[in-house]
Amino acid sequence: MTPPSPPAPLAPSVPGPPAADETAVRGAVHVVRSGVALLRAEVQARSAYRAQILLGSLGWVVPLAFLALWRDAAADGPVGGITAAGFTTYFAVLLAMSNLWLTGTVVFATAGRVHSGQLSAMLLRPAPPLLVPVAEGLATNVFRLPVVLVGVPVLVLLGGGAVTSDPADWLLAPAVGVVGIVAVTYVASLVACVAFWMTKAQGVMGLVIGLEWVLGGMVAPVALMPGPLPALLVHQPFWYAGGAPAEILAGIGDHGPTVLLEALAWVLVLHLLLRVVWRRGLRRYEAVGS
Amino acid sequence: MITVRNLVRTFEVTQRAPGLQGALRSVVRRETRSITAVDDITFEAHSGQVLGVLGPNGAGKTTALKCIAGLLTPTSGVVEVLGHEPARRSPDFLRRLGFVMGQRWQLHIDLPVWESFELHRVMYGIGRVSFVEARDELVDMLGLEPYVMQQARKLSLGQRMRCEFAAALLHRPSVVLLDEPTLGLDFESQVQIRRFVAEYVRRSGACVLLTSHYLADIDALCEDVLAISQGRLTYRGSLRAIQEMADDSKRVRARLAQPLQAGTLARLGSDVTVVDHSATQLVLTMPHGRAGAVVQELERVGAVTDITMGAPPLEESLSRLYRGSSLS
Repeated sequence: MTPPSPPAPLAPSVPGPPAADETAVRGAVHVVRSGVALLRAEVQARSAYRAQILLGSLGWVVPLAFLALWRDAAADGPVGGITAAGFTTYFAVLLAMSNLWLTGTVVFATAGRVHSGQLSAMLLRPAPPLLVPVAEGLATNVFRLPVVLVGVPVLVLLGGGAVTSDPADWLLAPAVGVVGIVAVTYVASLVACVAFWMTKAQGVMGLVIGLEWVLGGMVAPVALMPGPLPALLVHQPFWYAGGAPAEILAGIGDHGPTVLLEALAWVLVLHLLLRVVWRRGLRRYEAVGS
Repeated sequence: MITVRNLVRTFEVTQRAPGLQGALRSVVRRETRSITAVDDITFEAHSGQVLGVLGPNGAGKTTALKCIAGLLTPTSGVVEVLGHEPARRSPDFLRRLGFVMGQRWQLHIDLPVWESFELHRVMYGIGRVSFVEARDELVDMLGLEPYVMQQARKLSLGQRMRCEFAAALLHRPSVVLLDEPTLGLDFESQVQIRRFVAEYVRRSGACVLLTSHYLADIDALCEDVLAISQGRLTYRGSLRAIQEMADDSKRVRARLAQPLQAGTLARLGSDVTVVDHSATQLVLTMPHGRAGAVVQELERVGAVTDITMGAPPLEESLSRLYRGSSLS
């Protein structure tokens, strides 16, 4: 009989002074690096489910319903100065923008993790926990890009949409749209923080969807709203994330770089607000489960 | 390395009457009560120490660990780990902390384990050379080679637990919190994890807090233990003292043909405690020097068919500690 072989010697990883090739775990560079790594991971994770990719790529198509509605309304002449061609471009761009929003993922994923205690795993890492749902949302949107890159131009072309020919508008619209999405993502994160106080925040998501539809210009361009609303609604994040780039590219109204500056100011304010709310919320976090 | 002073953590919990009626009534009128999960706990743990944290379910062990990890903010008291206040979640603190929890979520469920390790590398700022070295060692030591390329969700409990263990140590933490690390593992995996932890501490000087319901884990790894019961610290000292307490008394087990009469039991003496008395067996505990006399007395009783003698199990001493009894 062969005697049992002795156990292999153990040589565990040894903590000690920082290794020479170690990188800092604080600061903007680390956040960006972690965000990119998370995005790569989430895209890989989603690529394991082909049926989901196919279904998800069809994306969010609600703006098409409003496109049909408003084109019909403008069939006999412009509505509030917007022609059928203007509506086509407006809602086609809105379709693209709404496929890039992250609000649903951020609210549902974050609030769900607060409720279930799964946030704990994210809190243990030296990176902002909210990077995770943002990366998850972005990864989902990656697979919706065909709709944005192919479907939307086709829709504009086939629908006879009118687009601006000013190069400055073509630079301004995506910039405002991206900053707007960042701002609205901060709003979604704030909404998710409700879960720290109310255990669940999914109910509040209905309110966010309502805001996206009305304030974002999904139901109608804010320029068509009654009374003082058009003047007010062009100064809030939901419009920057949806209606603003759509109006700029459709040539509706006259929008300059101040829109971008305003959107950036909102991002700064919302960032500072989220820091305060998140810290206070964490004090109430119950880390359920073990 | 770890200082905990007068730590208190309370939770508000909702109370309602059972059933649908109670649920609907609670929508309108909600009653809450406060539960103190951790109640005025003070202790310290040092570099190179594996401190066992013992206690029955719901005693407050995991809550204490979560306060130390910064997952929970203490209601009052002071927690200091590596010079940091954990609840502030400083990145420099988190980088030096490893926490293996019962719920295993460090790995991305839809990714091969290998990819989760890579994600850890970036998030913990581990240099590529150090990472490869640490990863390969851990894969080798924990026997992960056959399944690191599989999706985490497709691993068995034991396989996943070992991978979680590796993920928690990839960044070479100085403080390691292990909450039931061997729960649900087969015997071989338990032994492997114990050997690994012991060697890790020996070589690294890390400080480990370990909760486990498996006394074999505690026995193999911890010289010192804390016992927590109903949120309060009921014992702080060496495991050896608990074992000595067990050795101070003797356990006599008699197989019976029929139950003994009360008078027979009374004759055994007031220092003899009846642990169990049924139709088929009698279990007694007594001071160390009294066992011989008790056995002699039992041998005279016709109903006794067999007698065995030994030390009471360690669990019994622990139960006393959980109830707050002193060791003496």
